[in-house]
Amino acid sequence: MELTFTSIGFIVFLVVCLGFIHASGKLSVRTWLLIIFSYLFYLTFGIGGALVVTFTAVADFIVGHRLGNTIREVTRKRWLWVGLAANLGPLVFFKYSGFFVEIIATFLHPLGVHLSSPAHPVVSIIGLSYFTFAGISYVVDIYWEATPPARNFSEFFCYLVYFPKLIAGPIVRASDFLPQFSQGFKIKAQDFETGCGYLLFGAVKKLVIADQLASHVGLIMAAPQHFSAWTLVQGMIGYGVQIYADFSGYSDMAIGCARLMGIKFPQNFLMPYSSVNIAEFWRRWHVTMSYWFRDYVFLPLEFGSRGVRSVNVRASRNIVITMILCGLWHGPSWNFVAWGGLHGVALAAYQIYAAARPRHSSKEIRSALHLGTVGARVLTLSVVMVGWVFFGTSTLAMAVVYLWRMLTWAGDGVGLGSAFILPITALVFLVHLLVAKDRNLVEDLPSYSVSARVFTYGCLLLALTSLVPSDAVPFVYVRF
Amino acid sequence: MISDQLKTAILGALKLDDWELTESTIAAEVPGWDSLSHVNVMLAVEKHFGIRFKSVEVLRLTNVGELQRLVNSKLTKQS
Repeated sequence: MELTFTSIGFIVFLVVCLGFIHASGKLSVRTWLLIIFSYLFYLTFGIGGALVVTFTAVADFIVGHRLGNTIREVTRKRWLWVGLAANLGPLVFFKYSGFFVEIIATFLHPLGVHLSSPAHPVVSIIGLSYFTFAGISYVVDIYWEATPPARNFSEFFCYLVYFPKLIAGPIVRASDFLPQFSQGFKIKAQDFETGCGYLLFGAVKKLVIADQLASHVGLIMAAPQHFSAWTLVQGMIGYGVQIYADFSGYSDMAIGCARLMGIKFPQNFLMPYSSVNIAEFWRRWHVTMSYWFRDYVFLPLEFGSRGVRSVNVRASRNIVITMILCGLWHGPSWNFVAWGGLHGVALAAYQIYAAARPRHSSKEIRSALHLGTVGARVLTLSVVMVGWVFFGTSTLAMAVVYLWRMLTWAGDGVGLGSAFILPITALVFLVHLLVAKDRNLVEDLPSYSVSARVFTYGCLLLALTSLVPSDAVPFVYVRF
Repeated sequence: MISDQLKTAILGALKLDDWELTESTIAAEVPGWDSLSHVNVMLAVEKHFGIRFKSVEVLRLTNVGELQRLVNSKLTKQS
């Protein structure tokens, strides 16, 4: 029985875990208890992941320790490569080997060479992409001397396997997590309310918004050739809202679980559909992943190729490479490559536009930020929503059919009358339009009046008890 | 203390007429200074001061104050 965040089993598990953690006095005891509970959590998803994460934790700790104690640059570089191989090896083997063999087989087939490709993924390891990235960031940050190695193995082990973030992030850096050990997981009254607030908000986003959309949107995405253009538009927007509510809901619950133990996670979604350009979107959507690719892929590519004379050529090439890798991170599929490529081209185009724009005075910049033009938002949202078609369909061919039928406004096909898609998506977009984009209601709530808080939490609980569909839908981002 | 020369280099790369830059200013607080423009800002600073950064040195920077100290150390080594 998998312990998904929205299951009754997980609530029981969390309560028991919190009881043990807060009843323990010593930090070392709390640390090992968290490791044990994290393994118990992870084992409900299968033993493979537990074995791989153990290997990754041991390898990364050893590499980090060696990097921290070695001065000679040549030796440090060798340890860096060992660390990267130890992290990327399992990821490439388990997740991508079948995909890569399939590509090679396609090229060799005309030459009469037939390769049988293994299934992809070879074995599904839930959370592999997430803890691999956490491990890479640890090793690279130590190499860059941006963070010291962990004080001891138990603290590093706890960081890597910590269950609130293990299977679908946020991708928390060791430099954000490890210093919090010295605070000993002390929880204040406000932490308790905020943690519960995140859990409630996250559950509502997932169960009330995402799951209500899922069945209708899923039907449309599975067979676009059968639906009219207007239905396809609704399906596209519905999927965009579904995936936002699903994943931001998961992230909220992860942040809430950690906060109940006195641990602060970074925010992962910052009202992304309020963005006025695609660059801003990527500062607000899956922030921890976006910043990971920025720091460990894009910026090193940029600095490594600064000899390229043309700024636009250099930056555009590196943006597209980064976004294609970002797409591939989601899974071994041409759909994700296409999605990443689309965002790469959009970001490159924006970069060229931003570099060519005239000089601004600070006052002019500030007023433009406050206005946030409707047209810019609509354009940004349009690009993002088109990208989601590649995410939601199962093959590239299906995505092309989907987009072509919308583009040509196909009149044939069934109209799916969903009572949920338009009202729910309108509500979410309205919130993104009207609420200040950098506002965090969950963090602000404890400072409101008691009556306001009781009303808010009461509404959330009412929504959870009355608006949740009967069929449970798995979290979308757990499969990446 | 952020020198006027560094301010000129940064604001020039970002095409900003003015913006307050302090020791603790981070890129996200400055309009237009994002990952897409970051390398251009660094290259502009290199060109302005006639110095060269290593990639690792720049990737470690967290605020303008650290950039100022890095520039100062480069200039000190050169002289």
